[in-house]
Amino acid sequence: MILYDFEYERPGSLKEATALLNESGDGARLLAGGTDLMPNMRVEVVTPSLLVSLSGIEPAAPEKRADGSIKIDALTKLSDLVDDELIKSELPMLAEAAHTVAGNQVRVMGTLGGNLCQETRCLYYNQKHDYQFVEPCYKRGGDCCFPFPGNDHNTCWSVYMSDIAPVLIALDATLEILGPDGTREIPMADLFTGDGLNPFTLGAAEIVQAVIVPPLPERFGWGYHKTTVRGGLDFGTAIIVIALQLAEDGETCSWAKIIYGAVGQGPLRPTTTEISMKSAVLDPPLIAVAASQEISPLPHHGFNKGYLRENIRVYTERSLVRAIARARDKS
Amino acid sequence: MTRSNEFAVIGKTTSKTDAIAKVTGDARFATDIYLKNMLWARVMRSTVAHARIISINTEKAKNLDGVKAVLTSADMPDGKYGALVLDMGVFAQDKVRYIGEAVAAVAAVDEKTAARAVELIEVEYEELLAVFDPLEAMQPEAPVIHDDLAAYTTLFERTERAMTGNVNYQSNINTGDIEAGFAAADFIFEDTYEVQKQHPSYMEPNSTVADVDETGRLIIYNTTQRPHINQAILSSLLGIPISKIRVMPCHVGGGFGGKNRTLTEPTAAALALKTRQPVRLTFSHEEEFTSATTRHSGVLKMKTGVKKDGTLIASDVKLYYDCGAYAPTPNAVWLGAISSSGAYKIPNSRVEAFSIYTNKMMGGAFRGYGAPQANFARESQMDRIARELNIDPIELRLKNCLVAGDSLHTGQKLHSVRVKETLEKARDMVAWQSPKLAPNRALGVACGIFACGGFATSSIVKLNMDGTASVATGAMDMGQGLRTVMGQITAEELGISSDDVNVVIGDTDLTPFDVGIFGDRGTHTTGLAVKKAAEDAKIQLLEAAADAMEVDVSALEIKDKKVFDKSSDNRFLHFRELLGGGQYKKGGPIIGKASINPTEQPFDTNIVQGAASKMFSTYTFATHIVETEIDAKTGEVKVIKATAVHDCGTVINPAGLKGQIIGGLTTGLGYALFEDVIIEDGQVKNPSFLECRMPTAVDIPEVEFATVDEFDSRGPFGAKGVGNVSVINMAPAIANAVDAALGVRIKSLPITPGKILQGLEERAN
Repeated sequence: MILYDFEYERPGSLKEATALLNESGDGARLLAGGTDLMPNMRVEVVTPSLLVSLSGIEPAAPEKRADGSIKIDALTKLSDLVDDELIKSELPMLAEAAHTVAGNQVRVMGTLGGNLCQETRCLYYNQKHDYQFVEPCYKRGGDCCFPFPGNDHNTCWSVYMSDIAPVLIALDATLEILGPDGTREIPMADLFTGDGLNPFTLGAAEIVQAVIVPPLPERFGWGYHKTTVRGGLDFGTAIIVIALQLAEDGETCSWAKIIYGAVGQGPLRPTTTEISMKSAVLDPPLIAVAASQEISPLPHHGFNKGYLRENIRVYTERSLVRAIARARDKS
Repeated sequence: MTRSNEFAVIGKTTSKTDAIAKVTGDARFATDIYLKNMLWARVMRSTVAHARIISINTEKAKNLDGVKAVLTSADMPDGKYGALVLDMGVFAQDKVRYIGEAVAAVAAVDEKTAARAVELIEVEYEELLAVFDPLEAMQPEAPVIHDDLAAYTTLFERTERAMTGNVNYQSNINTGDIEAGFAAADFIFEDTYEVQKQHPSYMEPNSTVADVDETGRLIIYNTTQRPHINQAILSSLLGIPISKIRVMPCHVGGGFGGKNRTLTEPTAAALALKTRQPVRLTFSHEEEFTSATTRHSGVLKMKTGVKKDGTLIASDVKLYYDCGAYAPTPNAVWLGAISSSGAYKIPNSRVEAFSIYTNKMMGGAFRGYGAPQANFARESQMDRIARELNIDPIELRLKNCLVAGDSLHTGQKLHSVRVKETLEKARDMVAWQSPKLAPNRALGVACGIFACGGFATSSIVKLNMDGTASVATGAMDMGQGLRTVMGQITAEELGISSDDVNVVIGDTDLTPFDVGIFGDRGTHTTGLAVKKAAEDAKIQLLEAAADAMEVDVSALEIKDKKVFDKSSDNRFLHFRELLGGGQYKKGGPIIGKASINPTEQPFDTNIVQGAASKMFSTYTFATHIVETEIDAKTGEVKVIKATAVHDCGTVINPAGLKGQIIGGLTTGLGYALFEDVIIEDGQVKNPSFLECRMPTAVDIPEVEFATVDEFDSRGPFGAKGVGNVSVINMAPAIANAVDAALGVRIKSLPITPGKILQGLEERAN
């Protein structure tokens, strides 16, 4: 039950939506599927004065363009990403990642754009504060941090838990962003500030309108793993995403991308590991070394750093093996 | 299934009477009740864990437009309530003792106004030192949470530490000679186990709509497992006679013991009486996870003496159950004490079980009712004994398990025990050879005992003019299928079909007293009262028929809703001929009735002190074997299959039994692997379904189940319960499987990947 008043608009186009956001300033929020916003509104960590609903706008179907890239409307439901034939055949990693989001009831409501723009999370933040953890934390505009009392007011280690964003970074996707002054495109990774207080680089009146995924190269392989406590309805403990290309010999790595989700204020990318894999022969010792490189996951939701590191190490190794196998399948 | 061929209705699956209404959404729950001029209530809760209340200022809240009433303890009669220890008021009295405790409540024209009014209530506290750990709370220097504890009314025989310091309840079991037992032991095993809080996680939050009717009677629509006890508690807390209160429970969206409470009713009722308008109070899910009740967390110390051949000879158990700030049902601690021997014969046994106050949310009743904790300890340790003595874990259990005629360590002689058969059958079903199947795959076994039945109940069976019957009981259906089972029992007794029985439950104006649904007593004890009431009605019907047919009752028999003269196939009367109109000619309507307050075999007071009950009617048993896959690199555990064999006496409804077993196993699975209510300085860090993590459908393993042939002479048609015992084996069985696979013994729940990895690391060093 949301126990405060707010205005509600349902524009017929994204253009009208940005105009509404532009007029209303900070108090306005976009409402797509609502699966992230509504719970946050219910516990009053977000209290918009205006909701600009996108429910009146029909998303375009995913489309393969002349250059081989695939354009996906940001309003596409997660359940459609799971079931869409084009996505399943061309971007199976994206379909698999979408399938790991929550449960079906959430996926039929949640949208791709909403999933990418979901708020960062923290046990102490995502709950009601009427009699527990009452003092506002830095992210709620206050002056403390419950899990990390040593943090200063510029630092919030809430974690970004999208299952899909790490995949899109690994796929070199571009976001098409609509603002009051027209559209611009940014690489997926540039959506994130790396700051838990304000996780996104989007302007107040900007809307993620579409995701463009370039064609995959030959001998491309991928690995996706989401560690969870339960079999479903969980945010990730850690998300491990691998994309790589093998050279023609089927042994040497042309390039590799490793992205970790749910363990930082935005997706993490161990670039030194990626660099060390470039042009290397991917034999088991190298894979083990690559998986063991130092990363610094944020402890979150009761999972400590040591556990997260170990879990990420094991699943990086396993996901690399899967990615290599898939790449060889394609050659 | 057990002896079902002797019966017409018993042992056959009939669909749940409320299944369609629940699936279509027609079933009416308390939150579906909207009354004219209904007000919305909201509770103002404590933000501090332990403090004296200096002042409460409600003026601003009262003056807010739309607010109709604000209540604090100052507006209430000075009563306290609880099952054994009367320690809690409707609102905090003088002190608050946990974060989330009710301090005041508001009724307003809508929920939004009520919420704003709560924010306007000002409370000044003098903060006191708080204690969050039960063992610390036992220390003499610990802050005292209830200052005048000794003066509280209690409904049990107080043992030495009961109602002193922070101990509100203590029960002891002393059988045999504990020193001699340990002296005679070849090996002594000593372990300490820790268990977490688990929330019952019913989907429907606690909810009450209270109304005052035109005669001034209080009408309560609620979601509860115990309407008649609600009525009695409301009477005592509000100072109004029982007859002026009618509790009309709605469908219950899950209870699992958590609704064996009276939480929203007194607040909504007091606000309704004050405003003379209907008032609705529904807890938010945050309130459920911070201010309702969980399974008791605690620390369990278990010392067991064993002979070389594996014979258990002595056991010394200390249970420290953390009940939080109040003790709504320390009965769970008593059930923990009983279950702590496991399903075993241990000649020399000592148990000391404590219910200890801490400044946390309350621990209370939850399916398994004190036994999952104790059985985790007992069955984990049994496996450790088996491993160290190099005896097969099932063999060790078979060697020590109770059989009919044995006495439990409480001194109660047991008449219905088939735990041995459950072990043997489960062993055969999984083709057990040794627990380890492959490097990362292992079986884990556990068996257990749970007390079943007892406490007062009664029933009325009225025969209707069309030859059907209506049965009334004050017990409740919380989804477990009580309506269906009571219908089957009535139908079997009367020789009619289940479809011909209307089951009326709960409504205190229409049903006779039942103490509430807990402790496996629905089918067993309430069912027995229903059977006897139906029997009474049948006798009256036969007498009426004998009269009408001018034969002796002994010459009559009942078949297909007809009474036959046994000497002639052609001579019969339809029920409807006997009941329609005819019943007014002589003797009035046919109404059978029965009441039961079982007293067989009370506990031996030389052996047992501080018992929360005088007896239990019988005991249920089960063996569960889990097949698990364990990832030694990540510590992740997956239960592939669970095999469950139950000694539940006669099976009344096979589909209902299956539901109970799978449901119980699932609760046990969550307890073993996922669930925890994590409290930090008195605040719940994870007050949501998302973060408390009960298992989802995809986590539930394949379940294969069976029963063993047993007829319990004390149950209706030989039946016993099944709801609780199905919970208690999963945690130890999984812990045992983990140990079998990896050689890592986890002694604290939940069994997380982090703990397993840590265990592996410790083993390697």
